[in-house]
Amino acid sequence: MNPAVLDTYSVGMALVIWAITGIGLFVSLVDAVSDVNDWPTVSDQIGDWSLRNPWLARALVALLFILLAHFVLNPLRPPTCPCVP
Amino acid sequence: MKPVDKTKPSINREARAIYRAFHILSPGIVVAVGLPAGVLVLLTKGHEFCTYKTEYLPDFWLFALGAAAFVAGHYVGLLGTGQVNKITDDSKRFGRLVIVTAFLVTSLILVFEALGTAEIAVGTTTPSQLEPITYYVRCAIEHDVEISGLVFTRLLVILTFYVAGNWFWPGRSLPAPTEAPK
Repeated sequence: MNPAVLDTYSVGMALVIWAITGIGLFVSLVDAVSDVNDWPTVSDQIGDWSLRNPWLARALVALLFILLAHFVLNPLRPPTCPCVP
Repeated sequence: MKPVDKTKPSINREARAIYRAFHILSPGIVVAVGLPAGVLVLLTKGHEFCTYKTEYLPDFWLFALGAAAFVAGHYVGLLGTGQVNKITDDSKRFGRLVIVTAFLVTSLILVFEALGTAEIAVGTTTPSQLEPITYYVRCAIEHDVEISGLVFTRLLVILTFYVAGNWFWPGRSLPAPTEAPK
């Protein structure tokens, strides 16, 4: 892989992390404000959806676990080594 | 476990207070983890090619951590049951907006995961080929071992599956329909 491309890794990955942090911050702030005011929180709203659609919720959870297994349990081996960028 | 009827007024006040304190602290926890993680990645230069490194992966314990966090999310969520919320027309509209937004964002992330690619060459003579974003994720885990000793990867797995357990495995029944206040 081109070293110039590898050099962009730090900036790109930091931006991805901060974007995800921003989404998490927004959701947790909405959750906190709703809880303090005794309004239904994001957890309540999505929990209610899960109770109304149990099979869809189970499918979504299964998809999450499949993705996690794919990322961390997959013994990826290239067909030919040595492997180069 | 027997589902808890959310509409019953038998609120465990202490458990409820712990759950509320956790809710109020959660934005701070998100910032305390996400901000330094980004800064550490930004400051760490000189990453090496790592697509086919197998030094740290597969890691069964990361998967087990996700499963444990999923169960924890369900049981921590039980602390918050028993509260009677003020359900209004506005909160119903907000609920619909939350569901649509959550699934739209989830769909976009999954599409990005499927289409996002890296150009990788296997072997010294074979031409490079496009690979799915899975390779980025595995590389990010390898880099995190260098940056933090896998701390941020573990925190991300815990957070993701805690939220999944809390949202998609609620330990209660549906609230009874109520009249909106006039």
